[in-house]
Amino acid sequence: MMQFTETPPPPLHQITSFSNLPMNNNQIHRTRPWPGFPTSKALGSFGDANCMEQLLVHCANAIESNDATLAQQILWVLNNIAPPDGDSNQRLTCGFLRALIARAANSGTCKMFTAMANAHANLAINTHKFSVIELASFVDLTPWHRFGFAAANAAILEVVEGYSVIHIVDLSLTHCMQIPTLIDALANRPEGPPLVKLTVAGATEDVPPMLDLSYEELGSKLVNFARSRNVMLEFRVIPSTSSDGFSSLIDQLRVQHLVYAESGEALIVNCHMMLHYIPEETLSAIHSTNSSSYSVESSSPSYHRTMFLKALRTLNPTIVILVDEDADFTSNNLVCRLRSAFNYLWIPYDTMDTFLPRGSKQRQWYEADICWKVENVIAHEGPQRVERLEPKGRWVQRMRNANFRSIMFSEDTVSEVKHMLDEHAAGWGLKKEEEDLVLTWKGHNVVFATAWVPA
Amino acid sequence: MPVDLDNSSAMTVSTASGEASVSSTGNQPAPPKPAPKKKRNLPGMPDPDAEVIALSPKTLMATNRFVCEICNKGFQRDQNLQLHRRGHNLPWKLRQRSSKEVRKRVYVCPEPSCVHHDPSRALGDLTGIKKHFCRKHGEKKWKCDKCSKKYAVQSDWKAHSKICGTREYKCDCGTLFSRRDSFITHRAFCDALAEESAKTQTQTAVANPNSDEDPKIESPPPPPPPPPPPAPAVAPSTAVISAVLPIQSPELPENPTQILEEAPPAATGLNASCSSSTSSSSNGTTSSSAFASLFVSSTASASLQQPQATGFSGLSRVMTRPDRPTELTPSSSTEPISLCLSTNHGSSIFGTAGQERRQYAPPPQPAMSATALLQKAAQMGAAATNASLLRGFGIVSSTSSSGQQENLQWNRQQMEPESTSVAAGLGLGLPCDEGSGLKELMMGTPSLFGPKQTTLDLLGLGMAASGSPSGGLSALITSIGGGLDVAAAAATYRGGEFAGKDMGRS
Repeated sequence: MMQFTETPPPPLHQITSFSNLPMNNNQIHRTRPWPGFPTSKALGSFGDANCMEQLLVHCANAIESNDATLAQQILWVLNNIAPPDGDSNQRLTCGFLRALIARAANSGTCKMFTAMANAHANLAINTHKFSVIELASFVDLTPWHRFGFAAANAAILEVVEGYSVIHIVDLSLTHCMQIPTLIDALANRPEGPPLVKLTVAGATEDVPPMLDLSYEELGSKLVNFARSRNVMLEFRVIPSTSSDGFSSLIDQLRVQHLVYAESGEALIVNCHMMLHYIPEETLSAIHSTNSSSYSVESSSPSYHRTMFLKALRTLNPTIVILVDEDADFTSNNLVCRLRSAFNYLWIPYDTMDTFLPRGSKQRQWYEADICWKVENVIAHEGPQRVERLEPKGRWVQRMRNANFRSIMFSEDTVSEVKHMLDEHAAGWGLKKEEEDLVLTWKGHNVVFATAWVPA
Repeated sequence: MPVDLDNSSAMTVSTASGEASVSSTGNQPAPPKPAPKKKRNLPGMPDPDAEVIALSPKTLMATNRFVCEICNKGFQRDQNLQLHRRGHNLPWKLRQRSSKEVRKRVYVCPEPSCVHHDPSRALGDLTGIKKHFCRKHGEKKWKCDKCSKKYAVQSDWKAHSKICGTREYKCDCGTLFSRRDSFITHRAFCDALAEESAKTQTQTAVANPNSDEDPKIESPPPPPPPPPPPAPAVAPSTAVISAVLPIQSPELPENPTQILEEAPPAATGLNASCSSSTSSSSNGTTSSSAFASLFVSSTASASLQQPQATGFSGLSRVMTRPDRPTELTPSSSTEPISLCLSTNHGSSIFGTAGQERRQYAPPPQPAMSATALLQKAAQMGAAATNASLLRGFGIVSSTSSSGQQENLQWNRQQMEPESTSVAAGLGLGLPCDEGSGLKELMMGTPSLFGPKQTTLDLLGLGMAASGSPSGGLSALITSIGGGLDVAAAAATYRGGEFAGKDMGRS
């Protein structure tokens, strides 16, 4: 049920100008400090993101501690200061607000929240189903994906020199949007294009951005396009899902590897923002605490991410490209996750502000997709929470543990990427960190790109 | 003291910077030629007996290189200095230019790591070295407003702005692109391609040259892509290619104009070949070979992307529409995809975005600060809160726009709600568990609903001081800070700021 949380005594030193007001000591309660309790000096002016973040954090805490009243009041305040049609900060906060309501409703502790969530239902996040053309224009808008595409394609081109058959496994959130430019570049190799086999896994509707056509249809378009460039392309979809670490994909590839290992075929595994959907160790932490309801299966989810990489290594790929977003959404603590997400997802909102006008439908689509992610991070737990981003450092460690060694992107690649960034707004930057490339927006890390070969 | 004008500029250089050195390569100064025509050496390969001048960055970028030796006034051009010197009424002897033949001067780049720092790779033109230094080692201060491309040299920027958005790739579906990658990705998935290839497959190899077929798509595959055949029809295109290839070292802006000049003749050449009685397969061969060879050169040097794209797109427009007039009508796609620059859409979108950004400064704001809202939430208690919460979720929030007084009075009237009315406020018709508890809270602190009419700048701390019905909220009230005005806050909308989301956080 409901608990009444206690009031802290008003910090008298902060209100010296009001010292003439009556203090009724009887009504001052003991305080329970909230984590991360800020001093008023630390906070900037009101509409500032800091303030919104603090409110969200307090609200999250209230929900976690089942304090429905407080939660509800903070939600009311948030609702007033963060309208869904406000500025970027406000819209972002609104997305988090909805996620918190959904979480509260999911936890079922209070009918109020369920009511709120229901009232929300008509404003629910309807993620848009993109047509291929719309998706193509989306990935073009900012370097968010182009960065990874450019770095990956350049590295791939360099490494497949001399191969006449190449097999690309494209595990990409953007459903093969990288492929046409790669095919185009391959078509113009001085030695002529190789035979290209393209394998994808899963479905086009698992996570946003969702497509309104199947992989089969997408693939036939690609084959067509390749033909127009005189490139032979074979396309294949293997039903496989990230929730089990793409095990069926790995099995298929293993078979292939046995058959084709000696034939001089290059195996390229292009992972573009997809691997973070594979469950990792923090998922098992939850499982172990809720031990009664979950039976530990033979392949416990905690190992999926590690197993996947190890299995990949056994395939002896020619190159593995790993591109993902540089943030940490894996904490089991809601407030930590909320902070991480809030301090990362302002970036796509900000970047889209640069190019898309306020009322544009496209922006609504993209922001709806982000809200989907927010809701997943905040409102879901267990295997349902699929957005498990890890920062670059951890992925690098994982790849090294799986016996991969990182290779540098060549100077040509770097300059190509720089040229590409020049085509976009000021604010985008490129960082080289050892062998890795990091895309930055206004100095903040956004996406990292790494290339690996068997060690 | 006789002042030699040539020396004065060199002297100026050395006195200004203290670092200039004048050295010479080669053995003897060449005898003055009778009718010296300005001979252009190959870029980066200077005249061996030219005088090498190394200027410091400061001197190089100095805008007033020509200084009057009499009054030390600086001028950007020599002619201006001469005009000025006339005013000093110098004796005739001093006025004259030196009759000494000027040795050709070449300049090196002051940046030590640069390839042009070496005297053997000096550039012959002072303006050239200045531009080079800016471009390669300088800060890019000029930005194209259409495409955000940045330049260090103003003339580069101007040159780009003239042509930005005028070069396009056009898909068969009518959409225009300014970037090649965008064009390729779009084209791969565009239905227009599917239709084209369907048509292609139903046609025989020897097709009507006036067909609508996009010559870039091969007719049913004559096997592997042919190496560039030196067919006569290819000659004009190779002329373009050969024009493109040697343009390796000179700096950027010269290329577009050159290629643009080349393109039309190439275009006519290709047109001629297209409309001639060659079959469509050789059409395709021609275009793909030109295409391929352009690409060879483009992959060879990534830095040539810009000019290459220029040349190619000129050709591509030709190749895709050999028999149709190229029309730059706006695309038929419904959604103004922002980077597909159909000409009127492009500017309007960016223009709109710019306007929108400016309009962001005062977004629709709630009339109250967070503090006041928190306080009000504490005051009003759950019932009103819920109602307005639910209302607020359905509507853009305007609850706060109603006067505080109204709300407070309404609160007073609502002070003794029954659980059913609370539920009604919820819009549920269900008894809500929390109703009773909140009622107690509200009843328990009637003093709160005194004639507060709290103005926004007060925290209402009196209330906080006397305790608050919902405990945790007062913590927030005091923690969030005092008297913050929404308007001021909204003005700090971070959209335009480079510091990132917040001012202080790293």
